[in-house]
Amino acid sequence: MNDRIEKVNEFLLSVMKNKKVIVPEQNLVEDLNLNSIQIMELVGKIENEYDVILPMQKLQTIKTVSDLYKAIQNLEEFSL
Amino acid sequence: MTDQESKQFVEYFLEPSFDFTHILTNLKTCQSRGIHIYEDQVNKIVYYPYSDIYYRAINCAKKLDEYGIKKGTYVLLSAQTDIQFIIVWLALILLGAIPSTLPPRSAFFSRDIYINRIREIIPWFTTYICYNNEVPYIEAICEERNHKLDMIIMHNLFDGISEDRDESVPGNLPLYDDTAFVQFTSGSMSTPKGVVITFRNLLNNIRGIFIRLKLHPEFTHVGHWLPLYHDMGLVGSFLLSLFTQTAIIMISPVFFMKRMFDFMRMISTYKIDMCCMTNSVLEIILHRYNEKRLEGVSLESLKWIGVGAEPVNITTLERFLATFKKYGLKENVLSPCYGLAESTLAVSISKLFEGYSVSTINERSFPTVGTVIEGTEVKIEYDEAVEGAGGVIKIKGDSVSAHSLVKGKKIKKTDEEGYYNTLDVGYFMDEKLVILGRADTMFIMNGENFFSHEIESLLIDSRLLQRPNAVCIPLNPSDTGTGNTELIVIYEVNSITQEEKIQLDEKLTSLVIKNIGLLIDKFIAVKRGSILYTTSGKIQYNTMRNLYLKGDISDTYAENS
Repeated sequence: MNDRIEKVNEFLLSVMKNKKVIVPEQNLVEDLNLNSIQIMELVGKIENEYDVILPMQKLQTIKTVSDLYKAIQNLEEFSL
Repeated sequence: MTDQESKQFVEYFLEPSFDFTHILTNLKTCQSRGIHIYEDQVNKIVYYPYSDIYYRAINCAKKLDEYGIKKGTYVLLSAQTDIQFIIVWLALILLGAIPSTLPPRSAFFSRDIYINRIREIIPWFTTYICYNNEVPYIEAICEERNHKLDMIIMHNLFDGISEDRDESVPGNLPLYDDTAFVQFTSGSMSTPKGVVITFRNLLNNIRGIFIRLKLHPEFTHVGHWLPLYHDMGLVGSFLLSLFTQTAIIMISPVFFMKRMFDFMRMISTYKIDMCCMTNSVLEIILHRYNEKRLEGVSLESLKWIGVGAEPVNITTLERFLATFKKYGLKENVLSPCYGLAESTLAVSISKLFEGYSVSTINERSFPTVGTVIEGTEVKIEYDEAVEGAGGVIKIKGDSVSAHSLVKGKKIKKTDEEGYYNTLDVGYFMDEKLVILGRADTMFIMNGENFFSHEIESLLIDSRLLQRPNAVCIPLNPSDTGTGNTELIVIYEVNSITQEEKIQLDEKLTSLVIKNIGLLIDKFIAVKRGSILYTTSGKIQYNTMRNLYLKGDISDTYAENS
């Protein structure tokens, strides 16, 4: 599971600019200043890496880095 | 198809032959073509022949009739890209009701942005067809505004719906000059403007696009990913396909933004001939370009990619072609085009494989955006006081909407001769239109005309900014009190110290001088969300200018600076 978190952190850093520290409590929009296009890019990277598709309803529950970590724990249910 | 055959195919879109039953008969009998749509619930593309859609829409219309929807009822419709939206849209038309699309909740990550987009529109309507997850937001707005609204939940509308193939249409079919839909577009967040589109407007615009692109319903495949609450997505691919029974492959904008290379794979799989893009999306695709993800992709089938909705940058087009040539993308497929919701959608587009030419004025290059479509007339009004500037573009014709809906009231917006002033500035080059920019963002420096978006694009494309949001505001001599025009650039930051800003401003100053030859008088760094946009995503220049002049906009530095 730590591998997945590391991977998500790697993806987060790749879509962000000027941010080097990621904390689980951070809100993707308000704290990390991600815009919707960056969030979609991030989700796309996760989906591609794990060959899954996160449904829109699931996406709407992801607000923080921690939510993202939780979502990737159960990726198998979204596999293609 | 020959030109003559194209015209014959859509002959009944013109007034003397117009008959809505003809459109319905074509849908009813069309088994071999339909809509391929990605469905989130089942996570795959599902195919619906047009005849199935037609019968489902009749059953849906009966249910809507039970909810009290009648001819002439204005109905807000949450525009999620799914089969239910498509059926409801057609059902509303069958009833003679007037849909108006709003973004679905899923279109925004930010709750606040979603609420801001729908808040000022809701009070002018009494019915909203929406999804379950949108109800709490809509209810909160209604409570805040003390407004009574009937909400029809999409799920309930389809729950237990009849599957009969009954042919009796429950309502009164629309007439040629009845309103087809209302497209919410520009206008500030506080006074959103709805463009009233009649069937005359819609069918004439679709006809113009159809003839220009030589669509062949039996062979053409349209690719769609744009939002259905945007005119380019609604008219340019969905309604164009529905009304001509052309095959369409649809995915949602959310899916596209996550997995744009999967859309490119769909182009190979479904042999998609045409699709639409915006300049900024071409840039995003280039930015995310990943050779591994594109393995086996072929773009050979593409004959036309309309690029519109925002200023088109020649460098972007050249880079896109250079990058995707090896995937079979042909030259002259990228086709900048010009349109606006007030013209239903298209004003000028290129033919298949016509591409664009480059027009150069004072060492600045602009792409041509095609020739004016049949049925639309363009008049350019030149201001003799301004040399070589192009003129203000006015449009007239059966595609051009005559009214706006502002705060529930219909307002006429064409002049006595029937022209609509687009406020865009441009000129013709060999019958092809060239768009320079918006009249209200044009300014003159050293006897030359410039547009704010030229500077904004340069700064954003440079990737020097932390966030891709910048606005250039020209201040008139009367504003500055110095007798000179001054240029102010406001850009958004996540976090910046005073020292970092000084360094960044130096780089930005050099960049603008080197590329455009202008000196920016002042840069202001503001926090995220400070640059204000209209409901259709355009910058609110006047509001930003007024806020600056009132002293309400100033640098925002990080706390440790």
